[in-house]
Amino acid sequence: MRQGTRHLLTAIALWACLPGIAQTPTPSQTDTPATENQIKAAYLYKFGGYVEWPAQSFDKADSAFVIGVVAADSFAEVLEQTITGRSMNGHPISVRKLRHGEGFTGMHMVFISHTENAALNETIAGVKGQAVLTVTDSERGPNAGSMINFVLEDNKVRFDIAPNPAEQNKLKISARLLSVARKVLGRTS
Amino acid sequence: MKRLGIGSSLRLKLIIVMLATTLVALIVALSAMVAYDLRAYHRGWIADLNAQAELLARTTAPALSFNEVGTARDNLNLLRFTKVHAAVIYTPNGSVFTSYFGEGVKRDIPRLPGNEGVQIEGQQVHVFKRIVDNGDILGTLYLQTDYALYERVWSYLGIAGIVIVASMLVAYLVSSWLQRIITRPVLAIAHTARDVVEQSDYARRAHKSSDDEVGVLADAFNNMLSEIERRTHELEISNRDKDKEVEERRLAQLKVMQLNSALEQRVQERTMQLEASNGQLALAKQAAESANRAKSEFLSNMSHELRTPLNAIIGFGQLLTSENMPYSARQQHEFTQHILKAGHHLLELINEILNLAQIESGKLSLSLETVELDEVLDDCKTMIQPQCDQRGIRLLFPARHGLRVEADRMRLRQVLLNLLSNAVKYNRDAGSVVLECTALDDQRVRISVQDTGMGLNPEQLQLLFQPFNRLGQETSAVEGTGIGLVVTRHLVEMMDGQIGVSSTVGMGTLFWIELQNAAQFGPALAPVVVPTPIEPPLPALKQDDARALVLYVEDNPASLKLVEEILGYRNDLQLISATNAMQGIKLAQAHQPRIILMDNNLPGMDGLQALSMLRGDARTSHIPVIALTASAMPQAIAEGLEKGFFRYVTKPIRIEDLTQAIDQALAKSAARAA
Repeated sequence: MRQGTRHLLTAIALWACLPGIAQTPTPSQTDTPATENQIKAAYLYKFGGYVEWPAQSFDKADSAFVIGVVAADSFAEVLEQTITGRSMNGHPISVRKLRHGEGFTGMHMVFISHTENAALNETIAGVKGQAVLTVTDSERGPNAGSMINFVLEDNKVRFDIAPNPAEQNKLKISARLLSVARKVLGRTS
Repeated sequence: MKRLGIGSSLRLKLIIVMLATTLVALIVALSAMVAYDLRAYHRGWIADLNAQAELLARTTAPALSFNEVGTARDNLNLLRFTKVHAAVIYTPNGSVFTSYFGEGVKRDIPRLPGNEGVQIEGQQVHVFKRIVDNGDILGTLYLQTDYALYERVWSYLGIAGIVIVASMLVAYLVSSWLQRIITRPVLAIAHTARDVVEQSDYARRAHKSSDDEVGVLADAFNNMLSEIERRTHELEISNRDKDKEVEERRLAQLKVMQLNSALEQRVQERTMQLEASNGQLALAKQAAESANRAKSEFLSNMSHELRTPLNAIIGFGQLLTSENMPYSARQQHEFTQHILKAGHHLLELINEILNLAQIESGKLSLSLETVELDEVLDDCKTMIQPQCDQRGIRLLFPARHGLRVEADRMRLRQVLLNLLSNAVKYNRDAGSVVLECTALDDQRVRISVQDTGMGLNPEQLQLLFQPFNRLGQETSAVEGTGIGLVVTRHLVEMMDGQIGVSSTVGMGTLFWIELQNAAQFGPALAPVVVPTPIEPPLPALKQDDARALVLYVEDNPASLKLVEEILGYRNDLQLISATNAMQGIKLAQAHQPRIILMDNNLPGMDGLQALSMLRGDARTSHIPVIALTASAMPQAIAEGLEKGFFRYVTKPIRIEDLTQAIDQALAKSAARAA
């Protein structure tokens, strides 16, 4: 996908322009303007629709889709609000708050907050070999080997994608997702 | 021109039929194809749009999910390679997320997204597609494009027009060629038919070029021609016959007309003849009526005339026989004179009446012969002289002239005596009567009798020849019957003569008659029956026998007595008598009388039979027989004379006549004896 010109929108405009989020049935969020975390939580949920996990990632057809949040419990709560009442490709969604050093077994997606920057590489390394989509919001994330990294540009939440680490972990990221990424890392386009 | 018209019409019709069929087939086929194509096109178009919308919705879903307007715009800009004019992505709340417009496209888009699906409005198609990702409705995609179906329809119409024109052109060429297959034989038959009609040539035949219906038509046409030819031939023959018949009828009519005109002419002629004869009939009728009238007058006159002398006879007779009325001898003689006079008059009257009756009934027959006029005139003069002497009238006769006429001797004498008698009767005393004879030419002899009487005026002349018209002399002393001139005229005319009169009152009257001149017939035969002029015979007849014996055959005693008395005065005659024919014949044979007097109406044998017996007997055939009979009718007289009576004396007997006849018979007998 070719990268088109980018328009900058204000945060307020952004909120107004988030229909999927705005339409979430969560009463607590409908009346309040979306925060950055809320947007990121919504994005996390939406990323699941553009990534293909290997079949062995789920024990059963109705096994839960687990999202782990590392070192960001508040965000985890926002995320839980976001996913309430939703499913991921037929799988119920569960959010798990993780501490530093905790293993990622049984996880399908992990959000590693920038508060974990110190041990970022280590944490990400713990994912290695497992079909877990790693999402960071740190400048160091891509270098640390995260697959998707949120960036704030012109007060708008955007993200970069590094497909290689995902492929190494047997994850297929949809090209449609790549088309809306700010940057696709590790590839010459 | 007409020929071209029919042919071209048939050709044209066939071509039109074929072209019309082709056109209909083309239109149906093209319509079906176009309809099918348009339907497929429509469906394909809609499906394409749906697919495009689906694809675009899916493509733009991430951009919408992650609020990437630029990406979405880029996605939409890909539409510039398509026929989509405009595209819009609406957010779920209805606001425009991003939009695309082709070059020169009016930025006319729905303000709000409509229901999902395809809508066709006029020449535009509107497609609304929900953008759904992972079960979430992210927004709505709107596409706008032209509905190219109409363009396609127009282009199809153009193509169809071209195809139709081309096809029709080809079809026209093909049908122009193909129609000959049908029209040629039909036109050939039509051509033949036209020639037949125009030239009346029924011997022509149509050429049969195929075995199809046209061939059947040709056969039928030819059969019809044969039939017409035959009929025409018959008709011509019949017409010729008719013409001939018409000509004959015309001639016959002409003839009839000629006959008619001839007939008309004849009818006209006959009509004219009829008219003429009608006129003659009318005249004849008038004459008959006047004759009838005259006859009635005549009868009444005759009755009167007959009664008058009878009156005297009966009257004086009564005087003579009356014993109470004594009369002297002188008176007796006077009475007797009256009776005799009246009797004579009556006799004359009856004779003349009988004459007239015979003449008028046509029973009077005359025997015309050549008559020596001198002899007749001598007789007449002898007979009329005494009357002239009584009244001192001079009678002047011409000298003997030798003229002869064709006449009946006796009747001529009667005529002349009548005229002379009238001239004497109606003359004045001591007058004169002049008789003249003139041969007018070879044909005619005129005898005129002129008197010196009172003359007649023209009115009297007109009435002169009517019976009993005595022209005012009825009351005079002159005796007359009024019949004489009538009889005279008839007699003259019967002798092919004419009678005429001219008179001057106070000077006298001249009667003339003209008779056939007999000069050309040569000299007259010696008269046989006419005696020589009367001579006193008595002394000469005295021969050996003192008296001549006369036989009188008469059954009536009174008549016999009268003749005895009459002959008693003559001493030279001796009378013997017989009362019937047979006795008379026997007496004649026995005594050889000199003369026989024969009554006609005898018992048994009549006078004529007795005469023939006497003539047939040599002993008596030379004896002159004088008829003495009351059969006074002229034909009886003529018959008697013809049968051989010497003389014919009628009753009542005039004594002079009887004595004259006896004298003549004696003379004849004497001449024979000599």
